[in-house]
Amino acid sequence: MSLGNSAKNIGGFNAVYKAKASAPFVGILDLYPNAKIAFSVRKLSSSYTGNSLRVRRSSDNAEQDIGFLPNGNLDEAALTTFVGANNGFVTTWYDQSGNGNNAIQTTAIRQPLIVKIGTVQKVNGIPAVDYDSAGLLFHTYNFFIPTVDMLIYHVAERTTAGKVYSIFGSGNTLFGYFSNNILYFYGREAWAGGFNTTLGHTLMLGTANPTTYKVYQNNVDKTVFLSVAPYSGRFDFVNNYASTGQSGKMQEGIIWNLNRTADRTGITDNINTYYGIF
Amino acid sequence: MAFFKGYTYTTEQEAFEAREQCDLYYGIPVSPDDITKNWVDYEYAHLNTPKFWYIIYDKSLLPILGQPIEFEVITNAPINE
Repeated sequence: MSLGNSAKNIGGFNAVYKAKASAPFVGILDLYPNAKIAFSVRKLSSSYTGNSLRVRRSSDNAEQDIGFLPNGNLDEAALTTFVGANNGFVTTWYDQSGNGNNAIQTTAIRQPLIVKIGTVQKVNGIPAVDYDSAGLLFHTYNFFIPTVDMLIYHVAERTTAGKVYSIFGSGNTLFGYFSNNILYFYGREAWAGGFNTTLGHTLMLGTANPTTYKVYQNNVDKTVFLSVAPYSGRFDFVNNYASTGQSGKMQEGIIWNLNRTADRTGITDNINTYYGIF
Repeated sequence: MAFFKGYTYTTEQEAFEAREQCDLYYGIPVSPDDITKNWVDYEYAHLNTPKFWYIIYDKSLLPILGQPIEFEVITNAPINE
């Protein structure tokens, strides 16, 4: 029996079954498992039972977890019901990888915005965590990349050139723009065009294995360089230097610390199908 | 070197007390289980001489800490720059 749309004779009449309506949820981490860190405004794995975000509302500073709908989308109704006509700030972005690397911000005025005066912040119709409102550090990991095998990406909207747009970074940016408008990967210049001041909604994706290192913007190879060594050092989930600040809104970011170079096209398609970036 | 607008303190205790004033004003934390522990935090200008502690300005601090001042903080240059 087909699992697609089909007609079946039951009791003398045809009943149409739409398998899509009851199809089990399949997330990007079901297809490409074993991520090291995974943050998103959508559900990434069918086995993940936690929430997406923990939010503080401005009216009384109370906090509440916000989860997902059965289809994997962020539960926007729960978010707006909780926040009301006020502002909502992200205190925690839960790690969906299963490794418990939740990104938190314990200082109120440094928390990024998710609801502004009752309206969920979005990019291309999908909820987005807005760093422009606070523009400050979100979380720091003492996390080390032991090998050069990696696939890393972030879906974000860069809103201002000349500001930090380093979703995963530290003083030596793992992946992202620094305030000099150069894209760094493994702390090295990785952008074929040198300075890049392009703004807008982008998928920035980097792959690394022992022989090949690539950087893609919206599925276009933008690589220059490279000699990459294992990345050692602290990195921040959303980089910041107080003098420059973070720029933009973020929707998703995942690191696999293993060789997924061969999966790049599939991963890119999965992301772009959901976010409609390019 | 970075230039900031905010509030400076000669001891960490003074900065701690300023932070506490802000927490009290805004009722933070609401619950012991909350992630949010402070309204604002202070930082340490350890490369300056003399060393000092400071809070970066935010308009929400005006009713508690008053008008900010401008000051310089010596920072380690980020590796990428």
